[in-house]
Amino acid sequence: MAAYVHILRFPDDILQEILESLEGESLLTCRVTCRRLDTLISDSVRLQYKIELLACGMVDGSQTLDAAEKLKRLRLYDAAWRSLEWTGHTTLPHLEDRWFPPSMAAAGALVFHSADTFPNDPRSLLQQVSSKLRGIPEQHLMFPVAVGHNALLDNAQDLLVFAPKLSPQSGLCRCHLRTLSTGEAHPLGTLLDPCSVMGSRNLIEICGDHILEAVCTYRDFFYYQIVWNWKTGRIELTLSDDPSHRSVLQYTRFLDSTHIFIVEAKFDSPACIQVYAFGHAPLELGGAAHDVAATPSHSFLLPELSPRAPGMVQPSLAHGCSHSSADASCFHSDFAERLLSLRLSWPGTGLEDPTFIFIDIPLKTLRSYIAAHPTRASHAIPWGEWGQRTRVARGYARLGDWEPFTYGMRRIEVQRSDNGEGLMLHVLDYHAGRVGRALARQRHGAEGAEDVEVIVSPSDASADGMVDGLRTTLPCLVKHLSVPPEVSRRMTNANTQAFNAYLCEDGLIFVEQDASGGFVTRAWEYTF
Amino acid sequence: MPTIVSVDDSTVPGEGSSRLLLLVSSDNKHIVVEEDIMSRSRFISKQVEGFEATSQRHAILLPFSSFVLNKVIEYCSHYRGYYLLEDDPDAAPPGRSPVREWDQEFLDVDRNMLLRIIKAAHYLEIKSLVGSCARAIADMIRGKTTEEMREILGVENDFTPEEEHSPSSKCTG
Repeated sequence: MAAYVHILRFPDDILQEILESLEGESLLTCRVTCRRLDTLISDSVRLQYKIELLACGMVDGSQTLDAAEKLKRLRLYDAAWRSLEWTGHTTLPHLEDRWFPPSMAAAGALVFHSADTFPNDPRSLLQQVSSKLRGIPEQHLMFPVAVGHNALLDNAQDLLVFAPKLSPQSGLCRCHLRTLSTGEAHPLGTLLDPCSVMGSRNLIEICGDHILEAVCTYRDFFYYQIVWNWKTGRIELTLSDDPSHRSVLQYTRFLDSTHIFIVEAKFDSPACIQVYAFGHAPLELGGAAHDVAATPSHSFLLPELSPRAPGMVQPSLAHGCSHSSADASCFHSDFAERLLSLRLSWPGTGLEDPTFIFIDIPLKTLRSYIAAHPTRASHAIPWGEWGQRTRVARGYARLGDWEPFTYGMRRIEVQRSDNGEGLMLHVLDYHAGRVGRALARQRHGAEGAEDVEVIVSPSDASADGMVDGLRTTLPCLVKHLSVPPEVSRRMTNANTQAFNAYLCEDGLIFVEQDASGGFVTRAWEYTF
Repeated sequence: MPTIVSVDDSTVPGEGSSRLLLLVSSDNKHIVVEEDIMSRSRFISKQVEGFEATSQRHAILLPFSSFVLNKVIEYCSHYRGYYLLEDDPDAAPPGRSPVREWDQEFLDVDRNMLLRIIKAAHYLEIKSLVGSCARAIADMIRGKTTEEMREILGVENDFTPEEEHSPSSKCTG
């Protein structure tokens, strides 16, 4: 037989045909094998589109556009996200009276909100925010239930979970497992909801097959943190609250697909992060369940949060504990990238400007710590080892409610101060390895407050560990971000209690208060 | 220069309306095949059009061995009379070719053979076969490491060490 066949002697179009059959990951490997293949891949629009799609953590959609057009739009989309400038906005309909802020859950381009002020006419609305760029129309699905904040969305699994709000007389509170596309019962969802209780439920997070929620029964008003499988109906973990040690704060989320963690501070003991593995013998709800509560697999003391620290009063975490939520719309639903960001404050000391300290703990670090110390243990770890702190300047005191939200590999958090003067944005771009912490100060001009200028600056502190090697190859994000002009005008109303913002695929959704005090929800699109 | 062989212009009896073609492989094997079978090949079709225009028929010389040629003829015989979308120059969709089970079995050959088939298919302009071969080659390298890929493809690392250590900026968009 003839000698070895060298593929590089082939004409370009054969090689292109082979490359066309590969996916993004293999193309990335392939391009580093030799110059010829690298050039071929770089020169092909279709292949470049595949790679950039992977890089943006998105999936291909439209079949009607050609690759060149799709690549162009993808780049515009990505650039727009990075420059964060606004084009225009659409006002989303509210279900109820505009004098109430809407209760919303958002994931990707979907917003779920609910009206619960009129018990006789409960309604919830699932809404698809339109996108001019990607040609997505606005769509609605109405559900005849009121759920308040109690809804979870998971785009990746086409799953909508909500638990209707019920009065104590109205029987068991059951979860609804629906599809996002049709609103029908989810075909994979269990028919048996193991957490149906006479009581209230607070759905916290979805991670794959598991749902984390907090349940309070009307029988004894005990709180249970429950992890259950929404496909099989099996309870994987139950934690009950010891009523004699009521927490000052409690914050629970998934750490990964087999662990949850709880950040907890109690009046008589130091604050700590406790990690629990699933797979305990499930406990019955009610009764004496709290006597045999599951024990944590790991426990991390947070010395700075200890209420007994000399010279300090009780630190408050109640609203300052944030976490990038298990975003359903995450294309890379990768928990390795998650960050726990704690905000500590010491209010009520009589000081003019209480100090805030932000501590970011990459959960990756927390998890590798657990892997390295598999036995059940307590650890007291100095922050320097796994978290970084940023002390926020005085003058940003009394920050009001804030909402963390995520989309894909990116996260923005918006905070604003009670006096309407300060606005804080965290802009985290996990993928590109960029982290910015923005501090904004509203300038007061002659005619009252004017623009808000927000400077997103690289925050070396929080970038460490979270973004690893990517960060070394890419420059940090330094951007001037201006909040949409409309929004900044609204912000002059010093009485705004909540300044909620949600990240969606093409921009941000702001819940604003207009001059008369009514609430308006607007979806803002970036410049494309 | 192609050897001019005089071919009877009339229809061969007993073979329907299909005429015969004489293909000559690089190892100088003469293979007679029905024109109908080879009509999937754009290259052959164009040759035949040339014959029609000049009323001159001659043998078609091909730059690959009879071993490969027979394999291609086997492929064409299998799909004789089938319409394959990728072979239609007006309707061929861009991108990946569809998976056909028979092709996968047919192309279950060693690497060198596979590369020869794709080269022959490309020469003969049989898009469907090129697509199927490309898919089979892609399957061989999918999920492999850089080194493994180099070995399978038979390519040399011709990057300078600096280039190798700085990831291409394009890959992150």
